[in-house]
Amino acid sequence: MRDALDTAPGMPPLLRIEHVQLGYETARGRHVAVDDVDLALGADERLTVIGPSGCGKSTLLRAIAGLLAPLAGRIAFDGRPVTKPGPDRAVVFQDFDQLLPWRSVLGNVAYPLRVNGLGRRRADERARELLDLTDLSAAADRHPHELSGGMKQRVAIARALALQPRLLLMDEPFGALDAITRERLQGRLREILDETRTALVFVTHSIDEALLLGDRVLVLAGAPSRVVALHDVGTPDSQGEARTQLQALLADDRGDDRD
Amino acid sequence: MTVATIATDIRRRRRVELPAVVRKALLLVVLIGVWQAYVDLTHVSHLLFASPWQTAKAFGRGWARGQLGSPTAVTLRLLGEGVGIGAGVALVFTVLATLSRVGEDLLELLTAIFNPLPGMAILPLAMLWFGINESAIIFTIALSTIWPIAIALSVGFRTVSPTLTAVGRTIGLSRLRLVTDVLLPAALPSAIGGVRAAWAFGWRTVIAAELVFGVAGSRGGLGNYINNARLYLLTPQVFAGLVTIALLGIAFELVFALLERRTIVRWGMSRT
Amino acid sequence: MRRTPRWLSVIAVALVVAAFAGVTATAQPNAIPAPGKVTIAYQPGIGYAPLIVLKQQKALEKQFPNTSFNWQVLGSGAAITNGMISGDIQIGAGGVGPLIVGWAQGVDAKIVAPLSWGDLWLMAKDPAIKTIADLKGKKIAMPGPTSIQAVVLRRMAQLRLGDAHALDSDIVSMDHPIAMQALLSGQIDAHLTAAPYQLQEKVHGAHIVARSYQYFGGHSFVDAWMSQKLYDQYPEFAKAFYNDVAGAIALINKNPLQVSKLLSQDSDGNPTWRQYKQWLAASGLKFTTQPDGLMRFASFMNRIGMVSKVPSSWKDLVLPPVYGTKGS
Repeated sequence: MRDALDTAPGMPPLLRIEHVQLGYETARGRHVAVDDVDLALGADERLTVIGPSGCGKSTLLRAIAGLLAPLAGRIAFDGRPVTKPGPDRAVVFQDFDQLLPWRSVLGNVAYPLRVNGLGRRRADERARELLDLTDLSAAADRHPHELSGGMKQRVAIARALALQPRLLLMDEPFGALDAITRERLQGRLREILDETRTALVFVTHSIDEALLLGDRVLVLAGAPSRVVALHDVGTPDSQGEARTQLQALLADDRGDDRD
Repeated sequence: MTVATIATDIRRRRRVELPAVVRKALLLVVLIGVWQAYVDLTHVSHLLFASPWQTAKAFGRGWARGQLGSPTAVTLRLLGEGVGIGAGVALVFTVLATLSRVGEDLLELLTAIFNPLPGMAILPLAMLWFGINESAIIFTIALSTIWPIAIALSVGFRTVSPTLTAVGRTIGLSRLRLVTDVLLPAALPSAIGGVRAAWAFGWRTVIAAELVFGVAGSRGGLGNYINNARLYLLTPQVFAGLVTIALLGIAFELVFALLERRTIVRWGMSRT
Repeated sequence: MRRTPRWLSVIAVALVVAAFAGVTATAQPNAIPAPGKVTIAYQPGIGYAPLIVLKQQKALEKQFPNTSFNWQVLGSGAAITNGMISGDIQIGAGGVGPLIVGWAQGVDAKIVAPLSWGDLWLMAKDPAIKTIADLKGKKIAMPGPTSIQAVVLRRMAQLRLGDAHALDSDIVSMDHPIAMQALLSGQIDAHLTAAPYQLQEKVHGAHIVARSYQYFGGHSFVDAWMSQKLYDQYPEFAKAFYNDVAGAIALINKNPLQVSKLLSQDSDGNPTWRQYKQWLAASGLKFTTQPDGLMRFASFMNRIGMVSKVPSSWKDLVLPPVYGTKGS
């Protein structure tokens, strides 16, 4: 395993997380969910984050998105501290209700572009390209409630990519889908990321998915959870071994699973 | 399948067979029949009760001669202005409440004070403030419509999915645009419910206010038309005025239903 | 001869009194049949003084001990006609406007006893309002669009503005006491009213723009009404009521001081009897059982479309007890 601070040689890190502590202020005081995460991510790197339910994976993702301020430590994106959400860090959530019900599929994808200053025609054009990319062209005029779960998630991915983010943040986007759809979307996501050269932070609770989509796998565990491993995925040959290792790591933590 | 789901299933199936409009029209015909029968059988005094036929004649004549048209226009205008102002103020209040803590406290306080107050209770005071004129009525309507709309809107805002607001923020929406582009449309089902309730409140208030008010002649609305007809002991005209109010109520329901079909039903946002 | 003991004479007197009382109590219902319950409704204003005198003297209650009398004050003649239609009111009182509107629509209400004539003044507070023409677009208060005041206003509008309905949309329906407050506080511009309100308004700085007598001549102001049906059932009761009203009117004309005290008593001492005495003297009211101007009002109301028919004679509007007067 490499040092946590390492990135691909010669490239400045796109995302820098320094000794970050995350949690919430509650009526009974401060609840720390994640402690002392330290990490750097290169501009075309793919990181998957894995850990037992309730370990704060999503919390970490929200902090990177700028939806949650760290209790301690620092998150920097592209050299600047993260203080609020921004279109350079697009997010795809797990929930199916992340689309705007009153906009068509095309509208949902084009809307963020228009918000960020693109004219209507240009936005629609670009949105259509992304619908092509995500195999949604036929559904362009439908409304979200007329779509299957898999299609909704593809729309959310298309919307996220439309903004040409430098970093795509995904919070178990395929978690609520059936196995076949999930597999298809995983494959499609890899192809799209190859095409668009976007960095990825992908939260999952599936070891297979973590190994399939990540260059590295960050393992969170404990209460409050910490980084217990940062695993290089490497070649397909070595993945059997990696899987065993990860299973062992996660099994150790089962006793502390709060969910 | 539980008994309850079977029951709703049966009800749904019957609804498919007989459209709501037809069912309700049949019911209406029956009610009118009972009404005519009552008048025919009891020989009730024509000063107390008009038959459906007399009412229909008075209704037709009233509309043909414009005696009902202009009061209806006056009432609708008063109602539109009152509810419009009420909805505008409610919107501002609710947006402020969403954006700031002080606004939230203020809205809760004002709603607690004014919502239980019947609009009509304000009319005497409004007459002192604005004089005996339309402004007093419009003020009263506005005051009785702000609160149901504000309550519905803030419930709507509060129940918007947190994911949706998070999405709004991550695509770079400003706080104001988050309200206008995400929260408001997402709260549309509640907002329509609120405006619907407000229309009902407004209707009651405007008719009652006109009855009290007694500005006669061309400037009067439907409530005044009814009151005048009562003073002249023209009972069929009283009934024709009431029928007009009822028909307008039905028309509003249809407009709202259409609005819902075009929006929240089409978007899969209706909760039924 | 021994003197009769005092206690015996007391008993004797008491027996005689009791016997008389018993005779009157049992004899009278036989003599004059009366309804079991009579609600009498009138409106605020001094024109109704004959009824208030009867009420305060309890004349009817004494004369018809088996009848329960109930006195009510309502804001407009229209409200009283409505009460008569629904059967809540047996004897109503009001101006000729609602009476004629009711008659034309088939309401069973006719004059059983005229109460007063009265000059109705159109009062305004703004000095700029000098003539009828100055009232266009202003707010003119009166009890309602069918009140006698509204008929008078339309006559004024017809003669001065050429259109009887020129001021219709300026009518604001208000009871007299409320309208007086509204006029004095500036909420309305004019008030077509009656005594004592016109007198009070004058004292508080309002002026007379026009008087009803200028437009209709001397005319009946308010009368007491009863249904033909009730009259047919109890003609002698109606006649007795007429006589009682005539007696009250005689008292008003003969002894205004005593009547002022009765009126003040009816309003719990406020206004004072001195105030009432002054009003009675200055009011321009004439208390008489002679109805006047009924036909003038009816035919005018018919000409301007307020009613669709005219009585063939003033007697169509009154009950037999009034036939003997020199009505018109």
